[in-house]
Amino acid sequence: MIRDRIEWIPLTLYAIFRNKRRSFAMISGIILGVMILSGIFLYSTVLKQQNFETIVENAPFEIMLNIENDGTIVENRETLGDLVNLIQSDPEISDYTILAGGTDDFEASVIIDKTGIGYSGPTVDDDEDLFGGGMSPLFVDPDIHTSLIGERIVKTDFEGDFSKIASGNTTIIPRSVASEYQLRVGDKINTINITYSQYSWVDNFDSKVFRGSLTNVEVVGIFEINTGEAGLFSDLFAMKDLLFSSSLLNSTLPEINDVIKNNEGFFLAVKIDENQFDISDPENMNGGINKYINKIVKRAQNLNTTEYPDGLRVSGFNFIEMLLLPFQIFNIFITVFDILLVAPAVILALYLLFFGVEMSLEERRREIAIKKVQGADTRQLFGEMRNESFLLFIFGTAIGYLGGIFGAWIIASSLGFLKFNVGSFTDFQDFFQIDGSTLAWSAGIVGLIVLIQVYKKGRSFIESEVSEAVQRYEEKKVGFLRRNKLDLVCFGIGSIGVFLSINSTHDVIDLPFEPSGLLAFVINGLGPFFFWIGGALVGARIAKKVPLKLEKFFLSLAIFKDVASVIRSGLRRRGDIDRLAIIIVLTLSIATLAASQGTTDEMHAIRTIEWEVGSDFQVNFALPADYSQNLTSIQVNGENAVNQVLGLGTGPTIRILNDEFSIVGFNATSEYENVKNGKSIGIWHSDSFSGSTKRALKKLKDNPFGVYLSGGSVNLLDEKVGNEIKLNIPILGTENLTSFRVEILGKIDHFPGNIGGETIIAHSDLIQKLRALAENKSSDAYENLAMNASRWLVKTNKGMQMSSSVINLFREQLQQIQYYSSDISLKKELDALKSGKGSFGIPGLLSLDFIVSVSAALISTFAFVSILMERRRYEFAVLRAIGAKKLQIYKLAIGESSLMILTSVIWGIIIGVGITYQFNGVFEIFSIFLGGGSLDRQIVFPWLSVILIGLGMTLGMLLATLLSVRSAARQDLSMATRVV
Amino acid sequence: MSQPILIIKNLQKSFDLGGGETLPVLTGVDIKMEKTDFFALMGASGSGKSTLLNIVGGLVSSTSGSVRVCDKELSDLNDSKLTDIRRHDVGWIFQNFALVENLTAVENVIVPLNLAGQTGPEVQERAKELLQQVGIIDRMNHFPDGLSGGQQQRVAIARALANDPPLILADEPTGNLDTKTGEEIIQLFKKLAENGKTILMVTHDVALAHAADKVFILKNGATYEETEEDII
Repeated sequence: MIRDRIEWIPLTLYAIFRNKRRSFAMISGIILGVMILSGIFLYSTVLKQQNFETIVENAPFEIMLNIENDGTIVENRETLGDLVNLIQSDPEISDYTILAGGTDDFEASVIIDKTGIGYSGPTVDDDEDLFGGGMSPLFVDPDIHTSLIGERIVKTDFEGDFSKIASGNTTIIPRSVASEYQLRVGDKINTINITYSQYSWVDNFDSKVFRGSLTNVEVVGIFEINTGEAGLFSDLFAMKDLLFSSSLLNSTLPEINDVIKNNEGFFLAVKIDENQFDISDPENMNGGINKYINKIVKRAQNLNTTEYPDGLRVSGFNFIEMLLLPFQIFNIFITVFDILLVAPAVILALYLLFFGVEMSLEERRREIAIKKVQGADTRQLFGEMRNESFLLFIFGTAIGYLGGIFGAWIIASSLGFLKFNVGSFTDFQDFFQIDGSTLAWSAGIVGLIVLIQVYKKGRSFIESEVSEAVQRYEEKKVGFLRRNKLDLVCFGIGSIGVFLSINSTHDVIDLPFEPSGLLAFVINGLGPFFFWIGGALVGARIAKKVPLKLEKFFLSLAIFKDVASVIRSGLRRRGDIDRLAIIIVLTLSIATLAASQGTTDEMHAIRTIEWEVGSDFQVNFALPADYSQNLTSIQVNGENAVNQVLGLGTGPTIRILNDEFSIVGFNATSEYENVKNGKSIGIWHSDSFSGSTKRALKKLKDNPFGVYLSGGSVNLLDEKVGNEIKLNIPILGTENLTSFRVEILGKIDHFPGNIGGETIIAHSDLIQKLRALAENKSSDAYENLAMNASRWLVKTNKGMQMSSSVINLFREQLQQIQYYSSDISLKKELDALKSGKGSFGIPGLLSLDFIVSVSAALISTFAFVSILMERRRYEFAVLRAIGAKKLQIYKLAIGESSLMILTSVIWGIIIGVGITYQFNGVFEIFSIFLGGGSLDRQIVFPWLSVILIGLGMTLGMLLATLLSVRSAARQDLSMATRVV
Repeated sequence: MSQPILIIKNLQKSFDLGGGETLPVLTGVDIKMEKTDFFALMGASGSGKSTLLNIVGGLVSSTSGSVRVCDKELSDLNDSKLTDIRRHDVGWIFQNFALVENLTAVENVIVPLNLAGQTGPEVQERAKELLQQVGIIDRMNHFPDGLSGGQQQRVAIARALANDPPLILADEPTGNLDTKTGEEIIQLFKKLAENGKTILMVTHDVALAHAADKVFILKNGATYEETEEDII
């Protein structure tokens, strides 16, 4: 019985091996399709798992328990003490502590006033709305540093002394707040205003504000919660709590203490015993925690004591679930973007698969018709085809999934386009797993497509005429798009999109209108796909016509003269060669896209860092002043470390018409000389200014009362370059404005040192004059004012040659300067970039796209040409019989293919350049979303690489042609005399 | 006495069936042909006619015995030298014409000239001359699918003559043609033989075979010249 059921397997395997070319095409499509999809899903799964593990390792506690206030129990803190008694001996718990802070009914804000060092923090406006920058106070047990929860808080990169929280007016702040407010351990904050705004919605909306102040508060520690790879989203969810001792709450902030107590502001933080829970994955862990929370809630409800006759109404909150949510959203976003990015490669793999299915059916056409004549039914006709497809799908999925594991590792370990962190190969084991959902999704998608294809295409064969039993080949049908010339329409629409993309990048012409609404969606949203697919189909037309046009020249080449007449026949032949051209265009264009966007991505990241740092070092000070002397005198290892410095001085806020602008000035005269001598301090890019940097600096030097504005500002003000504009400057201490006229010298896109495009750039002379005016001093007094800047660009003597230890020594020296706040080293930032931090797998995805495209091109060529050559075995045998040598058979195969391949390759690169422009917008949006800076993403075409890729793929395809023609050239020549 | 063009002595050929088994097809063939000879070879299906022709044309190697074409022993030659034989000493004519699609009649005739390294305007002239010779010059620019069977076979004959080989091998050249057209082709062969070609033709058609100078019968792996008894 079983034997009967599995009897088909060896027969089908034999058929697969016997028809290895069509099997090869089909299984290649399945392998590539499953590989890409499972690679992305696995990457996403592992990323999710890694982030989950980071959260579990670093979360100070997992559960927050609170007592719901029903109006009878008001002593929130004391009731929590009773709850502790109830649960403290639970084996699920390893630690607990009572904390006080804001809850849903409160909004809390910390207002920091660092008066004296020139910083004023957020304020409360007249309507009592809070501008707190998202911070809130958290009052902790004075002995928290001795607990497990305390250990977790200080686990990652803690700076300071945690135990000092118990003594006096002290606080421990998160790293994000320290950076934002330029605070260091040991700093004393004059005043911290804590404001609780209590909202009520009982009858009408009502709000009450409670205030308290802490003065002379010392920062005794800075903590950091490791938020894993999604750290870029830290502003969205990372803790921005400032920690204070609860004894400070009792003694100094009595009113707020009461408010918190009476309004559920205290809660019980519980750290679970990880040995009691399954923490292997988020689902299991959250399931376990939620179950435990429910257990506590029920036990509290059943407490039923004299004090609590109705039990305690406890609410529990799963902290891990809350932290995971943004990661999960982030993961979905990354996965969707990844799929979008590799969509062309998936389509490519599926195209190969379609071809394999079609070829499989095509080769059976005659057999099917003959069987029909003999009375076979549908099931019998399809049996072999279905069985073959099924086995190929099983093998293809298995190999594809293994490829997906490798693909996921490629995505995760890429440091740049086709640059891999080989050292991370040890991490390969993270991906070496059979993930059920990944396998099911990728195999399901590909399997469904195989099924649809086999049955859809198969039906037309079943319905084929019996007369086809005596025909050998059917004339190849032209596809729907080509038949109706829709390929030209798609290509036309796509070309408009490409033109618009190029025009928006290079400002070729001023367009009278911009497409909007549905038209914009069709051109910009669908345009890349129209251009890609339409371009590939048009490529098939071109790849057919161009060789015919070049036939005369090509066939006159000495190497092809002896096979010229046969090649001519091949060039005139229609059929599957068109499909090969389509595949080549599809693959080459994706390879070009991947190489160009991969390079662009790297260059954009470098450009962004260069812009953000501005020079070898960027040093920021809390108080604007002239630090040039302090900086240039720094010595490291007994040598002068600094070459030159450039201060970026800020003037008063100015008003032009109704819009307010900030203004930044620098010594344009000296920097012009530096640029002229090739020793600029700032890192200038070709698009820093409109036109050349040198010319712009000269203009600023020659006209210190001229300004550069961003293109957006010029448009906003409805002005033109060369016009004069009136700057209105507020006079300090009065409501009055004074005004000053300046000329718009040109447009600025971005200025070194993370100076945004919306800032007015001016010569330092102008800044000093404006400052003098703002301070209502005599206008000629500005000449005596020193350069006043808080941000300084520093060019070091050793530049990028500085070793890590020298950089650290240099930074130590910087920190000695009074009012030093922070610094950024260009080399350190670039090194971090090279280590792949924060890349989110984009270079890896592009590398994977590239690898898949090249593989698909070579596999397709081999499969296609093999099948074509197989069909021409008789023709070759005849040619051999009438005097052709083996070498001539190779030559004619190469001669016939090379012009078509070359034409397709060139066209593929052209299409690739087009879609690179069109996809740039997608990358830009992604980059901005991930906080990758606001610089324009300038496309960088690695022409040499693109040409080498084109040549390499041409050679690879010609080699594939030679390999596939090998058996045809070596065949039994007696075939020539067989009647076919 | 003229130089023999083809000498076959005790030619044997057997095919390996696997598992140590062999199928003997030719067990001792002897044929000698001189210039202007036009011989026909007949035999039942599977008797080995095409195998014999393939061996003579250098497409298949023999198991033993000797085949000399234009005084060259085929078994001594490597693949490249065998190609030279097919290129210069032997012209092939196939049952289904085997013209290259997408090439006109004249371009088809040029193919073997090109393969032999001849190019230029004189090649075109040579092809036209041959098409003239076989009586199809008026269709020289037609593609195969625009020619009748007889016309295609004439183009194939012109192609076989392109490099002026002394020996023409024709494998069922009239098999796909009607009787009248078949007779025309045979007349063309006779004319070619009169003009100095040596022709060995495999056929099933007794009537056409008797247009040849001699008819050989292949039976039980060996050839013998047709007798009155065979004719009856």
